[in-house]
Amino acid sequence: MSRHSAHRASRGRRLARGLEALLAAVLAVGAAILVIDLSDWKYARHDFSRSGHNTLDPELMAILDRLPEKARVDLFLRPLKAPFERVHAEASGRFLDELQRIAGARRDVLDVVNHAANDLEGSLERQRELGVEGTNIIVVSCGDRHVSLRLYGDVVNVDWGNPLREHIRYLQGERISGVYDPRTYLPGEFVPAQVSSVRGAAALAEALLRVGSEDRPRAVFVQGHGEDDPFSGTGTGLSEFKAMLEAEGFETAPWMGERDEPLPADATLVLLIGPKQSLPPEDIAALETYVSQGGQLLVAPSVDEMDRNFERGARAVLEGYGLKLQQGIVCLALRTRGGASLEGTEKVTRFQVDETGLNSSHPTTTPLRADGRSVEFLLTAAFSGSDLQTVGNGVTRMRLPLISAPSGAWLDLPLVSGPGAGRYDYVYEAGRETRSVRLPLVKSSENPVGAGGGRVLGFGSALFLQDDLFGTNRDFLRNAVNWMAHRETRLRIAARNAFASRLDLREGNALTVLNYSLWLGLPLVCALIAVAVALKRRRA
Amino acid sequence: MKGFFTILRRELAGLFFSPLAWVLLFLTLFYQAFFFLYFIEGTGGEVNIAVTWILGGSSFWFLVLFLPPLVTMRMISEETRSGMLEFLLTAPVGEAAVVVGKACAATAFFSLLWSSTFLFGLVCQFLGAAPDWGVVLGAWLGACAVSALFCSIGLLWSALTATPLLAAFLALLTNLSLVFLVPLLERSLLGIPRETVHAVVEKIDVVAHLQSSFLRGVIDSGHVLFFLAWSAALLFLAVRAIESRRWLG
Repeated sequence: MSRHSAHRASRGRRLARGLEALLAAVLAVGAAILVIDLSDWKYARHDFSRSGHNTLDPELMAILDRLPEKARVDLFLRPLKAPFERVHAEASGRFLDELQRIAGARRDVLDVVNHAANDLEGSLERQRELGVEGTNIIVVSCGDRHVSLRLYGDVVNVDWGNPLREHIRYLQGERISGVYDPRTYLPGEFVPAQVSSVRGAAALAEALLRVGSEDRPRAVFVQGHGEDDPFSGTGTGLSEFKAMLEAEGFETAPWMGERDEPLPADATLVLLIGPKQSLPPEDIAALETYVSQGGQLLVAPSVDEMDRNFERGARAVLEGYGLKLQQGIVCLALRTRGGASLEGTEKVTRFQVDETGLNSSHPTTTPLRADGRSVEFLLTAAFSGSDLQTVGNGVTRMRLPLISAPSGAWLDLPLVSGPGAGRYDYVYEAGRETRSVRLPLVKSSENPVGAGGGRVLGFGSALFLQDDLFGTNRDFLRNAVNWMAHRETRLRIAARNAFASRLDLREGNALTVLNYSLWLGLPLVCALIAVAVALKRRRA
Repeated sequence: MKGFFTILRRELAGLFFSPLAWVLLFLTLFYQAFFFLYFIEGTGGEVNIAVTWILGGSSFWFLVLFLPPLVTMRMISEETRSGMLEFLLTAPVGEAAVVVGKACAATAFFSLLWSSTFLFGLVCQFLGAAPDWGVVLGAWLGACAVSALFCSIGLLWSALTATPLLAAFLALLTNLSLVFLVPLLERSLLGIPRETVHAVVEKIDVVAHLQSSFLRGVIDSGHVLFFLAWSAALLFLAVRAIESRRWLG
């Protein structure tokens, strides 16, 4: 064979060997990836930790097992600016740790994608796909259903301390609500924020329950009687409430009255919020029929109705279920810095109700009590009446106060004479106005046996649901709509803490023993063995 | 796999009867002692956090990135250069036994290195603050798994080159890429669907597989197979490299 042909043959052999090597590499990598994929499909996991804190709560496991398809958690977290960066680091760190624990244990049904803070384009693209916006939100999706959670509020409870005014503006710009209580706020005195609690597993479980169910409950807003229109865009007064309903998996739709179309019988929830004129008789009849057939009705009168008695307004609807609103506006005196009580200003009509004013055994309020949360009212009326009464057609309805005004609040009545007759003076008049009792501000009416009509939830004022107060009242409203839709409102996922073991470094000789044994003892043993080995080699 | 145990004994003897291994062990004990005490004092005496950081924090990654290339760099390349490899392969020992035996010996060395954590835990238990032994065990197994993977990478480069230093350098580069560059892939690859990038990153993210199970005291069969599968694939390629070297002459 000539040199030239030998050279070509050698090149051919090298090329063949090269291709063989490449094929081997592709096969090896492919086999590894296949094994890894299969091992993620079926895997076994054992928690050796002493506290078992990596083992998921059985209730959470049951929810994950029931998911119809793989769920996905999209994280859109962004650090907060000073002086809240530490709080954010702790809050997000603890939540991410919990989420990693859950996702690691059940990666067959749960996928987590953390859209990094510096990946703005990716985050926005995914948010557009999901139809959500904002930062520090967590979106849980399954199929075409998704639920949004706020890091601050739904997942993490933060005591914001006493922030400065610029901090308040900043936090409110970040859509973080409940930052301060205007009644107890001390301007200029900064108290740092701190994380109160993290309920990542419970919040995630609740969200998975929503998206895991293929049912889409329908929430119908009654329109056409002067109510705020939540469908005309943001900033319309009920836009945040509607957004919350949709984030909870509700389909929302307007109902313009019986003259336009019959009230949908399949509506899970009907909302009559703030009508400013009387409803036609056929609309009232449609609502009554709907409730008698097991529908759920939420009613809140407008402030206008307080002054002008509508014949067939929201108040009349509520009375049909034994929820009678009294005349007057609930007021609570302000406390000045010196501790004096201040009345006579419209500011007394705005107040917060803490956990002591929340029903201690109702599913809508017990979670708020447990978390020490408050709700806020503005220009609200109060209910009256007993808790148990037979109401027409032999149907017995039980009425429960869910939220009651703080002690010290009074029902301010309009002046009957003088230059301000018919107007409110916001001053307590002993003998004429009620002060000593806890005034019910939110009340429910339902048939305790379950047959003969659905649930009715009444509010003293439609302002409770509107955008201005929604941030503070969101949790109660979310619990309320889910309770009315007969969906589990709040899960108690038991938190398991990692086993902690701590050396006392201040007292005793722990540090000394550690220093001697770790710096001297162990390396010395190692050195002795090395010398022994060297000596043995030399002899050999 | 004929001759596997012979090779394993030979390599272990070579490792532990050489001063280098003991010098490395001695220095590593000092290094780990320093960081263990640093974390203990920094956390106010929290033993479990200190143990987890020793086998999963930055001090661990510094060691595990550099040491396996140093230990494995001469295992095949030096024998190739000196001609010992051909001599070894004429004996009734297969290429697979040679490679796997060397990998197991290197992994055993690192297992001994990381087992110093048990000693730290015993000292703490003696002082009345026993660590969570389940977490210690999981972290140790995770450290061994990572070491096995990086030793496989070192052996592959050692089989592909005849220069130990070059093998060590290339192995170190590969280790650094796996630990530091992989997490950046999701943010930097433009034009490729993010789900695709995420799926690829999941298959090679060593840090995530260690942190999400072993360091929590959880033994997850999927994560164990992750390290075994990649180690096996790399060792297979090392075997093929030796075979082709033999046939090419």
